[in-house]
Amino acid sequence: MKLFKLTAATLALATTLSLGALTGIDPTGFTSASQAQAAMSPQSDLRLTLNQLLSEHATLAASATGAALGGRTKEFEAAAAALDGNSQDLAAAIGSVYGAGAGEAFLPLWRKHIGFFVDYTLATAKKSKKGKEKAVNDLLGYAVDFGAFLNSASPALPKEAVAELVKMHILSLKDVVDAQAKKDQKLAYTKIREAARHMQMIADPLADTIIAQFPDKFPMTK
Amino acid sequence: MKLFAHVIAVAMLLPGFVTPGFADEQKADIKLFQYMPAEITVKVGTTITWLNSDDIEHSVTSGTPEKPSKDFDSGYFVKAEKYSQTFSKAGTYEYFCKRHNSMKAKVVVTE
Repeated sequence: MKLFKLTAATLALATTLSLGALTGIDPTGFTSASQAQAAMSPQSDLRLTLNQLLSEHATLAASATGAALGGRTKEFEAAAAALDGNSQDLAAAIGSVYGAGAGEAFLPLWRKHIGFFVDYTLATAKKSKKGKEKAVNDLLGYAVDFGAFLNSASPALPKEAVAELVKMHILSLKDVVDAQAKKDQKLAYTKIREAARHMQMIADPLADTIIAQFPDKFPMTK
Repeated sequence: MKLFAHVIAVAMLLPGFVTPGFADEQKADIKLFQYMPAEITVKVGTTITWLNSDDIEHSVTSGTPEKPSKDFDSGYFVKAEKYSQTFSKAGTYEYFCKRHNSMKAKVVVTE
């Protein structure tokens, strides 16, 4: 009963705070117009969008690999379709910043690394060491390409630094797949959280760089 | 001098002959994993020069990833490097990047 009361109180507080953030009204009684404006600014919109899309990418990828390894075909197909929808949203976001052509160039490049992850998952399911090594090498090669793409879009983003962040993303998802293959669900979900959180390390610097590169497009306030 | 002028005049009548001094030139760019412009229309004898502005190797390879042709292939070239190709026959030339198969474009060569 005590636990229920505590949970209810926490939920009420969370709801109040969430509504406060949405309406710009400080639940403590102070009006927070500047906070509301900042929360709705093009800069924060960009940051939130990139964080949300990239974090979603990691969790949907983990859903797809988990379903694939568990032999749940229909779930895998649904997860893969959702993952591709996320890829298209990311491409649209890239296109809205760098131009439609950049968005079109981004999509097949991004899908390529998802394909390599499918290869890694299939090789893991087949217990093929050779297949796993090939997929990892393809993924690491892809990291270099992706670093070059973002560097070309935003020269302030060093190619090597981006490639390193993408490598970390690859390794974090590889850990998820390995844990899923071992049916160690506790470890798998710990790794999924780590993989999703890591995406912020890509989303935040990307947002900062875009904001600095296109100050007119992303002003601090509307 | 007269003989030289004759040689040049006759040579210019030969099919596929391109006189460097008279030929048109066209510049193209490779940036953000795209060939820019994606479609180029030129006259026979034009030389197109692609500049790689991406910090990664690309190629300008004729055909498609599924069916490369033997018309031309730059091989890989890196940032700030250029590749030139002279088009001496009319036609449509598709091309792609061997490393990034999603990169595709075409050159239309007219008489």
